[in-house]
Amino acid sequence: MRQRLVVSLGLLLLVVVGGSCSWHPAVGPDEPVTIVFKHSKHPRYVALAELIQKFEAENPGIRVREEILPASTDEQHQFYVINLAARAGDFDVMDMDVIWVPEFGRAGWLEDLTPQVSTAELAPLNPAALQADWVGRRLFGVPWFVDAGVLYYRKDLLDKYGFGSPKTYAELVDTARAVLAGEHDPRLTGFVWQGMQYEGLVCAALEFIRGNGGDLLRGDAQPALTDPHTLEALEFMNDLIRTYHVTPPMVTTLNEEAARNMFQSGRAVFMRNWPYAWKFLSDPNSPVAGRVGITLVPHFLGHSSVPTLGGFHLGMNAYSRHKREAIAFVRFMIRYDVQKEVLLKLGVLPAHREVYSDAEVRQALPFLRDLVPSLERVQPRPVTPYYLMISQILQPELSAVVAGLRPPRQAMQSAEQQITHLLEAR
Amino acid sequence: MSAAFRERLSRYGLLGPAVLFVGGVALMPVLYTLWLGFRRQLPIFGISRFAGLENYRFLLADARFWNALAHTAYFVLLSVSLELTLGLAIALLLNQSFPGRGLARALVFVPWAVPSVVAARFWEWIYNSDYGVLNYVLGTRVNWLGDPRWALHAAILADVWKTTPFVVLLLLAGLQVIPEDLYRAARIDGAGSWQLFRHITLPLLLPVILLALLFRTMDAARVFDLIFVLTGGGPANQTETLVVYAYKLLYRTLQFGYGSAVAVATFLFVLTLSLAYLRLLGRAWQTHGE
Repeated sequence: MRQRLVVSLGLLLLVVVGGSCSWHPAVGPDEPVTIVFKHSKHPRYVALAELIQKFEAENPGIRVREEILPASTDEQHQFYVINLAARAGDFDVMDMDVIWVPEFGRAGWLEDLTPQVSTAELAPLNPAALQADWVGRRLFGVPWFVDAGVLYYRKDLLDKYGFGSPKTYAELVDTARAVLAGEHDPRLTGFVWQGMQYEGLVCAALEFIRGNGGDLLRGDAQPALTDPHTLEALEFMNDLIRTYHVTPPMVTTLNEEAARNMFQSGRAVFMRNWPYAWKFLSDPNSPVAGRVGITLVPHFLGHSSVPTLGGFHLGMNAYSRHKREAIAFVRFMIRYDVQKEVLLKLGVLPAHREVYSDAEVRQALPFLRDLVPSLERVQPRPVTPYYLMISQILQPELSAVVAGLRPPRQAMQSAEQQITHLLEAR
Repeated sequence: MSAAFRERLSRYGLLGPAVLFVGGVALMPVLYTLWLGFRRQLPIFGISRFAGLENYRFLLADARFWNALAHTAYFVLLSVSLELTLGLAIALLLNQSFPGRGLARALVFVPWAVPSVVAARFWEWIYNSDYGVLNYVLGTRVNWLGDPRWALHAAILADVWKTTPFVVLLLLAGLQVIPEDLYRAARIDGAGSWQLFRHITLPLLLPVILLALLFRTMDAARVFDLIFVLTGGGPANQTETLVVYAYKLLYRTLQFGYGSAVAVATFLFVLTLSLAYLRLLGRAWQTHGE
């Protein structure tokens, strides 16, 4: 009886395992292979179909199926985590937020691209963005398009009071105070940024901190939160609200879109945001159309501007069954001519730096001239597999500083303790 | 095969699919979470090992956990007591006959029909410190969702708006089964309206009140969507509840072991509250049930 049970269980196992092996259809040499490209709904993502057609025309043996990820980046991350932890092989090329690459790479979920992509292909890509793809000597992704924190300013108001765009935070505060004093408009505020408790706050705070020569981590594991430069920058964030009255206290509820809505309706002189806001602000229906300028995020005296890097990267699922075809697609997407179309058709900023000096591009998109310096100075958030955990610890502590709940030293000591504990547990 | 055996077989055979279904869908994940709670499971670190009570020991010393527990308890206490008080008042009102009662009843239930995430989105606008209608009506400039002192209360108010109708629904059903004769008899004996309420309505409604209390407490203790959309737990974690914390641990930072331990702790918290209510409920049924 028992023997029979063992035998039948064994048979069952054989059927299941054997069945899963025979799932891989034996593909003949002239039958096309279909790879699945998981991507999020980037602005004008519909145009991706054109790029895919181009790829398929060049590679007759490969078909690409697009599959769209959930709307929010949190849900996208969750989708990848759940599927990859279960070793899902039903998608091949992955579109990832830059901060996930080291994490997924370390988890063993991404294929190492070093043997597949040549240094000549990588050389023209934004170096800061590429830096975020390396874990040790392994390359787990390639930058597809990049983002950088920028400062938007109301050109008309600055002109009216005889100011140029500010380079330092001191200039920004002086300018904002002069404009606010001159306008006498109770609904106008000086400087809005992302102060809500979420990832955007870390991006914004990092620009204040690095603009003062501080940082979050030294190397990839040593917290630098109680460094005087870091604390001074955080103190200044609080002062913007409570001493200079340049930033409204409701900044604690602002994410990117809420800040953009305020700025777009003419309610702020300055705004820290990503380049995506430009096309909304310059839309003919926008109340501030034609009255906005873009420049580098400010820095403190004696230091320089360090915009935070954002953007999306392409990687390859380690459990993919069509790695050869998938890598061809990834390499296609970082090619000069394709990256140019990424800019012109998808409306996002390509990682390929040479695209920005292309004559056609410069003519079609003149505002890029003001944006390129930000892309050239950009720095990634700490590149470490533990970034998401570190960020989860930092968000409430930074929020406590911005909300005026705890002084920076106390908040950062608490964060440093938690991060040290976390990294010790590695 | 004897008839008795065949009957027993078919009895269990018929139960089988249901048992399998409930076991697979409800019991398995619960047991798996329980098991994960005793493990150190961090896919990014490549760690997957048995850890005994390590997670629970860490939990006892985790200030963020206690902070979340305190907020959850506060949320439950305030929102449930407000919902019950308001719900009872509205249910009593709607139980009276007055012109337009049907319409009023329908309108009261509208908030309950709105999905939480949608409700949270429009409360987000109501609370907006610049454009929000709340500040406009009050003539204030309070930073409802961004001020650590206000944020949790703002979330509680939104929850009260959203779920009071549910309490009304339950209580109204309870009120309608109270026989009219009792009131008539009491009135003949000269009882005033307070006495009617105190000695007829309240005792007969008690089991339903406790039931509403049980449902609402279990739900409120697991509050997630509303807070997640309104504040994401901020500012400075002042609105972070247990489930929001567990979500962040599990899905944002992939700490499957510790995240499961927090989920289990949440479960124990809800279970303790529920058992306490069930005991009360049992007693109430015994005294007034028939």
